[in-house]
Amino acid sequence: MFLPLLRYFKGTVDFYAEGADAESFYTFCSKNGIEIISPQKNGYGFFAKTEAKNYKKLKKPAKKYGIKLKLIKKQGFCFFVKNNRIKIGFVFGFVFTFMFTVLMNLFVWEINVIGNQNTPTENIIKSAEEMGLFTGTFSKNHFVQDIEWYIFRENPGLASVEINIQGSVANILINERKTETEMVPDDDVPINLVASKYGVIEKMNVYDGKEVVKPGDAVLKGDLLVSAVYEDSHNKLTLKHARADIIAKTDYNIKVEFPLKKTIIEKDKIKKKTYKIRFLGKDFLIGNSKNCEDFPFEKKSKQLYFFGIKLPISIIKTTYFNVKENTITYSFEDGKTEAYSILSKKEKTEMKEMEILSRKTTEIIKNEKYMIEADYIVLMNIAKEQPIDSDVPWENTDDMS
Amino acid sequence: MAKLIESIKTICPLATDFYIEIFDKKEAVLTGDFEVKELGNSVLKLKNNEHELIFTGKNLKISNYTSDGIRINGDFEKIEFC
Repeated sequence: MFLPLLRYFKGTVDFYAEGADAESFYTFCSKNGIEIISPQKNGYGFFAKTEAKNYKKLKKPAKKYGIKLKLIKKQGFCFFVKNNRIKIGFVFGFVFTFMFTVLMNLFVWEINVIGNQNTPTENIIKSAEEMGLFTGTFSKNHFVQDIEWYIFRENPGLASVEINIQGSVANILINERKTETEMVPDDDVPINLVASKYGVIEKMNVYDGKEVVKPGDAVLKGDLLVSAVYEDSHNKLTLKHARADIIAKTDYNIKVEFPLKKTIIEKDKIKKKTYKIRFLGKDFLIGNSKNCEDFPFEKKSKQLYFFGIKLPISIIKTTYFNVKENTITYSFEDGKTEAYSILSKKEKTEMKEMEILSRKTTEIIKNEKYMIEADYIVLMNIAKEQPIDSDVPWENTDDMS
Repeated sequence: MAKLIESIKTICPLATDFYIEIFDKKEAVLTGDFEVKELGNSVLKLKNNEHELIFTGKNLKISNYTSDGIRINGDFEKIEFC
């Protein structure tokens, strides 16, 4: 059973050998390794077949014994392929393309982030990558809910995250928070308001609780400003969560310094370049980054395309740089300018809720640093919450007043 | 199928340089150096050195032929040695 199958794959040639000495020709060929299969006597010769590769070998002995060889039929897989190679090539190409398309559809080729305005797309994609979702990975291999939760947690300002993986495309749908959630004080907790620092009360806006001081009063740090103990309209004592803006005139202080000598480590010439090929989620490193770990580097990633179609292959180039130390010396004038620039930034951040009434600055140059100390007279809210412990039964009678 | 071994001495009492085995009168395996003198469906003549073997029958065909021997299939009616 196997021999005919084997002969079919190798291919056989049917022929007719005609001549007076056909038997000697047959004997010679058979004894010299040229197999002649099933010879059938016919007239002055015989019909037989031989393997396709052996047919050419018959020519020399045929000439020797005066035999005329006539090829009758070629059959076998090798002849089938040769005669139909274009069709076979087409079928094979079609099957391969189909299999390739089906197979590639199982991998994530594209990740889209939709709906974000304030949160940068790179941040979302970076969070997704940290959870294993990036181009080239197997699309069925992701725990979508875990990735959604991770992106939500790592990117404040998001209201919801939804990931849809369809075929080779992963869409990350983002809903951002419209406004910041306002923290509403818990009215169930009794709170006093005390002075966070000393000052003279300029203005009071009391929303809840009983004011203990009035505008014009001088208070020290820790003095009670608004009490949680409150007598309601039923003359019943109740505890409140006191809330008020107590604006007082007080002082404020900021100190800044700027070094007049700085040693800056700068990038110098290129030390080394390494490349990584990312294919279907796997990284293949070309080059060695040994001894470069402590040096600054730049990474650039390039996605490959085939006639506009994005491929799941990207090349990541990492360039490592040597470093050089550079000492910069600033003049006093430059140091002063820089120090005042730092002071200005601090005023904008720390004092944004305050009204500056006056400022006095003192400048000192000491230990190669330009230092500025700024003293302010400001109007600021000095109310500070202080929880109270009380044995008075707590009952919020707001709705009854 | 019962194997029927005919010793060379029975068929060819003078031959000493080849060996023949016959199976159910349908297959003959000859070990030795043979030449094919005549091919045919009813008569097959083989030569070994100076001796000749003639197979007579129906549908005779050589199914395998190498320098070590020869295998013949068919319905044997007679095997002659001369």
